[in-house]
Amino acid sequence: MRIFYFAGLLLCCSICSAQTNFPVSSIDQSLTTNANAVVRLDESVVDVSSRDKMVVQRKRVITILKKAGESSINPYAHYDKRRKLSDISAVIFDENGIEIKKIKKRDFLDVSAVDGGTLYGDSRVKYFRYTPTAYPYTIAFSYTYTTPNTAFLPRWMPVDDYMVSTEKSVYSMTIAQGLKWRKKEKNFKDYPIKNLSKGNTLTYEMVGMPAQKREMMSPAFYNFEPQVMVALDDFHLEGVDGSASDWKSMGQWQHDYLLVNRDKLPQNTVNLISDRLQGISDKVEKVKSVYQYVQDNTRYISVQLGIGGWQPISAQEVDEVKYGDCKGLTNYTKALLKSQGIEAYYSVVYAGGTKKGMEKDFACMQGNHVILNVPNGEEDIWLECTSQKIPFGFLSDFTDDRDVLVVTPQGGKIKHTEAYLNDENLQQTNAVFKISPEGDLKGKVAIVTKAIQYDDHVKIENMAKPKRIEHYREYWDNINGLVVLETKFQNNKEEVEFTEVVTVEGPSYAKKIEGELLLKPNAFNLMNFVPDRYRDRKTPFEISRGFTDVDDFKIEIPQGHVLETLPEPIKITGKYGDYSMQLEKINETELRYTRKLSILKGHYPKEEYADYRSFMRKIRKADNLKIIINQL
Amino acid sequence: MINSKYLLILLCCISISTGVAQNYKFGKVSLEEVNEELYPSDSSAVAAYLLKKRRSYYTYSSGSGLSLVSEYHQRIKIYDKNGFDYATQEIGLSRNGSDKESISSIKGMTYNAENGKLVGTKLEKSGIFKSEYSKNLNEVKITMPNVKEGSVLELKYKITSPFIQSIDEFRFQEVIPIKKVEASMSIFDYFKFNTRRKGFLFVKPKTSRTNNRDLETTNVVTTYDLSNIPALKDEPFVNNMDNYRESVKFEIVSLEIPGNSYEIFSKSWEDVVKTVYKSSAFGDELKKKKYFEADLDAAIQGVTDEKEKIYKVLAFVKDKVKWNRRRGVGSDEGVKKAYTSHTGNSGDINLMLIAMLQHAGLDANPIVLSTRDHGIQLFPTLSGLNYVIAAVKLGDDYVTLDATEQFGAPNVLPMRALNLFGRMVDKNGSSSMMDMVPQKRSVETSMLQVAINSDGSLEGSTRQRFTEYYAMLLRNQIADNTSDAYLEKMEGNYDGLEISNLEIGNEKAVDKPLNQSYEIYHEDIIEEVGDKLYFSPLYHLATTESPFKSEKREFPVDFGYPWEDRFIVNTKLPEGYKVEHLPENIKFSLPENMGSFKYSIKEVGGSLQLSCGIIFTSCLIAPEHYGALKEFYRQIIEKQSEKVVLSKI
Repeated sequence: MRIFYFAGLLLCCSICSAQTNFPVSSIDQSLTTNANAVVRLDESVVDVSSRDKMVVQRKRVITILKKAGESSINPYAHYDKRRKLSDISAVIFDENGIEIKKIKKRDFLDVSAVDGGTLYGDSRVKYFRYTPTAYPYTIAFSYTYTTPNTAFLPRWMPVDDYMVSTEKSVYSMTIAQGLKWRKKEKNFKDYPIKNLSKGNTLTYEMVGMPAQKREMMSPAFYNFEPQVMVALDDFHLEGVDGSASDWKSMGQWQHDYLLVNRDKLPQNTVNLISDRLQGISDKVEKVKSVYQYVQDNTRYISVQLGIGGWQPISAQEVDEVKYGDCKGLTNYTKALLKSQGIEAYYSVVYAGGTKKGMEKDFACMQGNHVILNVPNGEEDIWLECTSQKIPFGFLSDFTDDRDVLVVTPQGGKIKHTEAYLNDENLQQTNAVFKISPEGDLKGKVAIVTKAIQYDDHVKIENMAKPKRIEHYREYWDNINGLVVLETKFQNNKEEVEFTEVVTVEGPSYAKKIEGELLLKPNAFNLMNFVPDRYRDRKTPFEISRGFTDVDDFKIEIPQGHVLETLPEPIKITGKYGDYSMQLEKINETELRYTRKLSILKGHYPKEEYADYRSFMRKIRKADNLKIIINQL
Repeated sequence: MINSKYLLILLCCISISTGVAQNYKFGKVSLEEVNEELYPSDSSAVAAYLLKKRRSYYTYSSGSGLSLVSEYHQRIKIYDKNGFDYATQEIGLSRNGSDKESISSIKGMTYNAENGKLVGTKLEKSGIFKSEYSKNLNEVKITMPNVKEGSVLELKYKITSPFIQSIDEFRFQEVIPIKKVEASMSIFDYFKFNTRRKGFLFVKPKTSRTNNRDLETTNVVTTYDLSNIPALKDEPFVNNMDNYRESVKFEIVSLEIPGNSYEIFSKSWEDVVKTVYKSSAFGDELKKKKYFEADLDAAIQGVTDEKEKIYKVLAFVKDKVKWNRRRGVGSDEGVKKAYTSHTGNSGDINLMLIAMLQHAGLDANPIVLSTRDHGIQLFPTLSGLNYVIAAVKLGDDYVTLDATEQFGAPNVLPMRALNLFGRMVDKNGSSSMMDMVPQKRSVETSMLQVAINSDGSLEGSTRQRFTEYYAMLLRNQIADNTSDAYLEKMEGNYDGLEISNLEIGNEKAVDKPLNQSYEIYHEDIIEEVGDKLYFSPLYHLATTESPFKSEKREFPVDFGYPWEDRFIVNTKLPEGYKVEHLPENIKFSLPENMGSFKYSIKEVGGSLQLSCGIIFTSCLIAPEHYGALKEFYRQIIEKQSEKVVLSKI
């Protein structure tokens, strides 16, 4: 308690500032523009007194200007068996800074903090609810927690969210003499940040940061928000001590303390796998067979308790109940492979459609998911062990193209997972369709998709029939009153290739105007996406995964009709990709429409956004090209 | 009542056939069940209940008194990997102080076929997880071991509850099909109870009597024995799927223990209303007036017009007390406390509103009802009511009011309160049914004054006016967003449109329509083919996508309120072009005059004048008219996308 008091004294000036009541009138006008909420003060005071004792004092004062700002209140204080909460309270002030309500410790709600995807866990949360009687209002929320877990030291991320401005954010961490620590600062440029650190006390402050607007296609917030990370070389996690100064030693510790000896399997399972692999000599085929066994025999169930949040349940346990979480199932697959003499490595990753990598040059506990790495000569095979359906060796947009920590018995190393690039994300659409003299369309469309586009389309296979029909009505919403007559699918997991064959009708697809038919030749793959316009764009933009679409349609026009003017081919080239479109006459009643669109992965400065929009607008215009078919 | 209308149609769809004899004793799973690859009558089912059994009854012991016991036994078949979720069960156990529901006798087995033989894996303790979710709820989660495609899972457990009046609903229909239901509820004679059935299967129970030796009375046993219950499939625009699920709820209406007094809970609507009225959280709270009298009198001083009085009182309550998002028929913490702390539940706020209206000399009464997410209550029920609003009699009409929503207005209630009907409670405690379906149309009027520039772009101004529900919904959006975010959302709704100089009128004045005006610019909306210009004269206002995409529909489409969209577009034609083709004028309607569409366009001195309107006089459309509705939308989209053709002179 004495050490804690000492730490408190050091920072007493900022704690005392809580005496003022944050009237709204004192907010600088630059901070209310575009803001739903203003963080008046966000303060973390961290005292690390030993490798297994840390006290964190949190204080957050936020003024809510608009209802939409309420999601930034963050009225939660997490705790569990080891992380103890104390001094929790909240006070609400009105616009003038007059106290209107006090929320005491016993008024906080207390619930299990296990998310929907997890079956069971021991994490809990205390939180409060407040119904505002008028806007704006201000909430001051503070609490303190004490934990022996120092594997995760609080990070400083002073920019809250879009549409939220920050008056002041302070971070201060004192680390006891004798403890070795490292830190990393990121993305400080363009932010009003001051580093006031001295000796073993790190202090950062950000004052007066206006709200930022969310803009389409901007990079993930995480990739440009400022932050400070700190890690101890000798730390503690749920009853286990750990030491790491770089990724090699971090991997070594995870291997030696979390993974070792958890890969034992019952002999009859080993025999079963050996029998299964009998006669297979190729390594990749062996891995594929083991992976198939895991997919056929297990399912994903998440249980997170204590160290179990970071340590897999043993392979033996998974073998008994045939379920586990990402750690358990990955470790199980690893164990099955090991039993057949195939080396594979447990790999920690940040999963999600937005690519986020492990910090390459800063080793600390990171990641939220585990996959398996199987080295195969110079190549790597990556396995997602929690899905019963995903093709062998395919990562999808969940874990593609990012840095991961590969844990080997010789220590850890950072590797980059497979990226699915532009041409690989291929979609080929071939269609044959006929237009009746009344303008009705009747035809058959075949769509073949690969890689990330495979991922987007393959889910159709599992839809019930009415949902499937709805899907096509959305997909081809350019055809009013689309009728889906028949669908056929082929899911070639070997090639990661999905084929859809759809027979459709579109009543009055071509518009009949005074004896002429007005027809859009591109019936089955329109690019209508043009991102929103911004009067003053602030952030750069990125295309995180490129793709290529190739289309080939044969169009039969009715007898006794003729296409008098053949439109010129269109070619649009730009740094963001290429587009080409051409219409040809095969004979008097048959036309061929060919189209190719490639969009390239890339990161671009904000100044080019208008240019990119105009590129996409040209494509939209070209895709919506119409032709006139005259009656003879 | 909407129910009876669809009765016949639905009855025809469901064939209740008798299945092959099957052993339903725990553990007597057959190899045939494990080998079955598809559910016979629904090949899209990812899993199915082969058995869903529940037996509920009361026990009495001198130590713990009366308890309600429910024994569950389920046999679940997993057909597909997508059905793995059914291998995990989540059971909530209520808690109230030291009273809590408890679970016991959990027993589970997973059956798989291995080399043509049936192999069972026992559910171990490690697959059972008990946790304290919150102060009022404990949770038990059970996940079965060794689950694969084809597995048959058996699970049995028993729940003992001290909350003897609250009997969980018997659910006979789930999102996966059920092969066999066996259910029984045994209630001893001291309890008078009602059963309320809902759904479209119209199951019928058998009733018998048995002796209850513990209490020296008889039990009334209601049993259900059903087979082949089809899956409940979700549809859009349904107010609450739960209204259509086949289920039965037992509600205890009175308790009559020899030698003790007789306690009524609810039997008829009159009883329900009496019980509500008598409860201190309702009737007593309604009578309290002192706490607001002085403030209110000052606020409505000099106002004599009744309508104006209503507005003033409503605005007064809305300003004083904000809704804490809790629902209730009665007051939570008392109207007085809600008044001084400026926050309260729906009971606090609307009972206060009624008292104030009465104080202001108006003929005001409460309407008690069940909100949309709480389901439609066809039978007298106390627990089925969860909300209260106010009604004021003006001449022969009633004006409904709800002060929980900032932008609500007289006869414009929050959507949650629009659930077909409510019960109006008179001062003497009698009650009558009130139709809660809004009668007045919510109208959008959009007037565009635009010109086509020589470069093919479109430029002009827009004036819009929104009434009733449209106005309420928009006012909410405006208040919830910064003005830039609102504007960008508008632009996002209309692809490619650029909006500037947005002005909003009557943003807060809920007694008036909401007005919006702005300038528009659109670069890409006119198409040039050869030397002709093609465009849809409704531009961005045209509906391009039908909300009704599914082939057929089981349940009614519910818009919530009747509505009308009116578009008046005046286009100045570009120099050097003449009109070559105009779309034809047209009018068409839905059957029974539920809705209509009209479109008329003409050229007047270098300008095009278009008037287009959609009206829905009925906001509830029966599934039998779904085909017509779908076609109606298809024709609207067709017409609205029709092009005007201009050619060079």
